[in-house]
Amino acid sequence: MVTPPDAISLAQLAPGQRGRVEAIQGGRGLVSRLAALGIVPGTLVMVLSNARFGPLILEARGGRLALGRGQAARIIVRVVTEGDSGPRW
Amino acid sequence: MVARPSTALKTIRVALAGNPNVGKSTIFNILTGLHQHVGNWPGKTVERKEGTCRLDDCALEVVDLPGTYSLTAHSAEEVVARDYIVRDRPDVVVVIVDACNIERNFYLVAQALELTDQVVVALNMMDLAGVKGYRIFPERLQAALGVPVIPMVARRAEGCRELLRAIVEVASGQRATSPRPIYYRRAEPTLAALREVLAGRALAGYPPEWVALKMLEGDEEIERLEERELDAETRERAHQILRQHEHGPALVADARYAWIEEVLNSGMERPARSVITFTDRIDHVVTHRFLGLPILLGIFVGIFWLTFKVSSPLSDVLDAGFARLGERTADALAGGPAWLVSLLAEGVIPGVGGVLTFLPIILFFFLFLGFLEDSGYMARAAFVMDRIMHAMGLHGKAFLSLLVGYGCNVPGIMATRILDTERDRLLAILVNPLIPCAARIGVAAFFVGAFFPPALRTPVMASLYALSLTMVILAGFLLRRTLLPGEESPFMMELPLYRTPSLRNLAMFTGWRLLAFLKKAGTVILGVSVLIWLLSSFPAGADMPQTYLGRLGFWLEPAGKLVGLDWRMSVALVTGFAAKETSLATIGVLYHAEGESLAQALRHGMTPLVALVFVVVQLLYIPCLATVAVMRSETNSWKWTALGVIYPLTLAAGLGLLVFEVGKALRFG
Repeated sequence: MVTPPDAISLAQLAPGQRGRVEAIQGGRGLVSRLAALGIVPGTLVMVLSNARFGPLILEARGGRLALGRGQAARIIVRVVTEGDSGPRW
Repeated sequence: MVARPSTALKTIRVALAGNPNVGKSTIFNILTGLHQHVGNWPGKTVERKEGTCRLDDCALEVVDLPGTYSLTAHSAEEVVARDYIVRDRPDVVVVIVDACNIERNFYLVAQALELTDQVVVALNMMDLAGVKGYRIFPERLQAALGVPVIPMVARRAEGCRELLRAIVEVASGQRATSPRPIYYRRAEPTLAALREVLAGRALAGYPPEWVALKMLEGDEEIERLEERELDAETRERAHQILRQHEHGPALVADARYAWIEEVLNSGMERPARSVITFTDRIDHVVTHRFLGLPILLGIFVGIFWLTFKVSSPLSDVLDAGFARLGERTADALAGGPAWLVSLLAEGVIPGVGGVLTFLPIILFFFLFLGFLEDSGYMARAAFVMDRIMHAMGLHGKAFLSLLVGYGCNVPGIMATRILDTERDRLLAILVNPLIPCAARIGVAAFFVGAFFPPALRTPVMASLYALSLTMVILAGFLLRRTLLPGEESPFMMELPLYRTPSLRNLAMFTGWRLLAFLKKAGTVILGVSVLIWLLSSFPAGADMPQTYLGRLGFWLEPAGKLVGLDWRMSVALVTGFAAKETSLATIGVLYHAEGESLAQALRHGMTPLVALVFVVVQLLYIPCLATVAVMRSETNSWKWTALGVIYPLTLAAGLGLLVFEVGKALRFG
């Protein structure tokens, strides 16, 4: 899949920032594991904790998840700003 | 399954499915009470819990499936859970859902409904949903879903009757289910093509629609199945279809979430923005990038300190009690055969009694650990430790198994089952015995108490903890770079909401472990106590050095002498293999002197340096018998088990030598 120019990895989002998942750069295993935890292309996620190293905490679909940095780096998101409309979750 | 015609009772087979941490075990325990049996799934190191309960004229056979996020074959747990649903065809599958995390949890509901229509949804933790600003209408959800939805608060046993009733009604057909169909949207044409290819093929009992879905999702088990069951031509046709759809897994998942969205929109109201909860406020502090680790350390130092603080008076009482029991027994049997008096008063009672004095430590440690687990903090501990665990190529979840190891290595090794890859599990299993269990810490504390002034005791104990943790990290680091190389497995785990731990859960968590400990005291330790007594009492009338035990010590002495240990200490280390607690009992027998306490006798018998060497060696040397047995059953390999015995022994010998030589050079002791 072609990565859109304004897209960054989830690991680059600061705490409090939201992003919509564009793509997951990984094998089918990673895609389907993340899916079971609520993360698929199109999902809106919010980063709750990101310390530049080590794992992240994020909120997706009303639940909170801890995610390793390596996995977060494979999730491509488009930053969502306040006024963004579209599906809530 | 057809109900057995010979009995008046109708048998209903029920499977409980659910994500981890949704209260599945709580519900299982409430339903089945003490009528449960814990074993393993055949050929798998996955726990299988079964139990029974009654409602009117129905006998329910309940199987607690392992907690899973999905029914795609990523882990042994997921394979077990879905194979049970597909192959054993339970009459009803209960999917337990956390109401606070309803959207994500419904993913498993969707997957269960792909396998069977006979589903009941248990909507647990209804009391907490309000915290997140959710308003849930179970009847509306039920109408949208097409299967019964039962609101519950399992911690207060609310909704259990209704759940049972719904299970019976669905099983008997009184209540027909008609699940809302999942429409796979963009994946639908591909699925239709796959179904056509698979139509009429034998697929080991799996329904072809479902196999088509799993093929599109790239399920590894199903790939193996098609290799076994399908001819080359069919396989090729299927793969041709699949090659055009590399986004299969995402499409299927997306369709399931769209289905969930429809169901939830008609059955609940959610705030437009997520509500800031109590959990957010706590997490802000305990997962803080700088504060997280000191807080975690503080909590665990507190737990260790509190455990020993609370349990040592109780241990003393038990100790004194067993001493009196020994005397009383000797008095009561005064007229009886001398060997029996000696066996009971000098073998069995001090041996088993010495071990039972560890009971309070085990009790309180697991009680505190259970409290952290049930409150939701453990997942945060895994998060905070993730960075450190990376040094040994593991991720945060592996830390939890190490933590349990501080209580006892046997459940510690069992706790590695939460890790996803075989390699991670092996590594976590192999380093676990280096974590000093309560028994070893107890032996160490006894020696430290006997040889060090009060002001030095806490620092010495703390350095022993630090030493063992350093060894764990070092061993993990080396194993990862030599025998167990490989990529890091993904770290992803849910962080549940904080909640007040329930007494029932704490009692269950602690109770099972106490029971296991008592069983060990009643079997292995009893046996070893008798054995040591036999070896130290025969040939009859001989002095200690001439007894069988003394002769064993004589053979061991040259090895022990290298690090300053005399034959008695060496024998204690050997008997400690049966159970670490017994090494103290052995020392009690071998150093026994009239009119002296054991601590006094030890101080006369060895220098503080030798005592320190002994403490370091016994802290690390080899896993106990029970741990070796569980290593073997969990790794299913004698080779890894042997490694798990040999490398700590080498490490302990090396460190013992180091401490001894450095101590001598510094003229310590």
